[in-house]
Amino acid sequence: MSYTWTQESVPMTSLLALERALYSLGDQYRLSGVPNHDSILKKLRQAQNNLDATNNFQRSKIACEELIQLIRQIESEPLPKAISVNGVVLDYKQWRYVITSYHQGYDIDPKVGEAQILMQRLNNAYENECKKLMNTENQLKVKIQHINKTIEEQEVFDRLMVEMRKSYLQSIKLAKEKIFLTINENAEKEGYSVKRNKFKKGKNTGREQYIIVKRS
Amino acid sequence: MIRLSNTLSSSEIYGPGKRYVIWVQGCSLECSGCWNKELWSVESGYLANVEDLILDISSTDGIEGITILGGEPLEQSASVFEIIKSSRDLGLTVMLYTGYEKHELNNSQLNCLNYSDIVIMGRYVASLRDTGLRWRGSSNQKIEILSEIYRGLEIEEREEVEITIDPDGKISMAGYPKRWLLKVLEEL
Repeated sequence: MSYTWTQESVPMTSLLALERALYSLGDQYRLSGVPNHDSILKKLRQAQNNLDATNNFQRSKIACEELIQLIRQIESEPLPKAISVNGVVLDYKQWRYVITSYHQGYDIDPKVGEAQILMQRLNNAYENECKKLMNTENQLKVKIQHINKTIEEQEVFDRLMVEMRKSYLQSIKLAKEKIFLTINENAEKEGYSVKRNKFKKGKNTGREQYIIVKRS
Repeated sequence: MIRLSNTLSSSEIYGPGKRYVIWVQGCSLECSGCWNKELWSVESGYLANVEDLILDISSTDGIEGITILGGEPLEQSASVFEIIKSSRDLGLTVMLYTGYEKHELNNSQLNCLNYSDIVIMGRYVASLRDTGLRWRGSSNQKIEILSEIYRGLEIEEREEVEITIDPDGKISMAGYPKRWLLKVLEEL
């Protein structure tokens, strides 16, 4: 009846969520070939490792603070244009990592099939991390786990979760702005008008709609 | 139960005002050049409970009505009728798409028409494709206004596309897009 299209996976907009997804998948998902992001990603991983490794309150507080500072630093960082997973290059297109070299003779390489599986797992892991960041139930579990710890310690953990969520939401906000500007600019060139609706209440809160119209 | 492809709780391009849109899954008409071949299969999509769907419609703020399209809504006419009737009971208007012509319909399908305010009727004909038509994909398709509420409604022809971005950033698009827009989305 009419054209409909929905993006297959949650778009990757956040460097923090990407790093958390890679971390959850283990060592085979190490990034390479992203010189501008290598150091910040390494620092993020190190800070996360420090946090996971310590049972000492003072040290975990320091690790939390360090992680918060890093999250603030990367808030507006774009994702790498390409990443290499197990030697196969994945390009950042339409807000996710895809194998664009596939049609250029890569199809006979067994690495590609393997990379497609890795790519799917990366997409799923990213989506899971985003859900965790937005899931208040999960926050509650974190609280219960730390119920025996001091209020001060709990506050630091809470602040870390707030910063992580804020960073993720900010990345989506920036992505939406980019999408709107790109569509608006192209629509104007083609003689269309664009109406932007932002939903601020009810179950659609946070949703945006762009209605692109050309009168006959 | 009803097999659906998708729903959108607020849209402005499928009928007058803001509407809750329901894409039904499954269509045996298989019009040549159809925009949405993924909606043909009766195996794809998901099974939805009609009562849950009504509940979701009733909890949506600020909508004037519902629009049912597909796929082919009248191939699940019993469930579609239930949705139409319940929506009307909620004070909402109903716009229904069908690829069938009136003479092809059985009683159950005709009931769906009789309870609708606006019906968009007729097969999609690729050679008559016109993205500048409001609410239709090809120029043979007719807009039938069946109730008083929309009598005299002026339908200004226009090309319309709607892009929705969910809170988690997921993008979807609906409508009758030209190639330039598809290209823009591909290259984002």
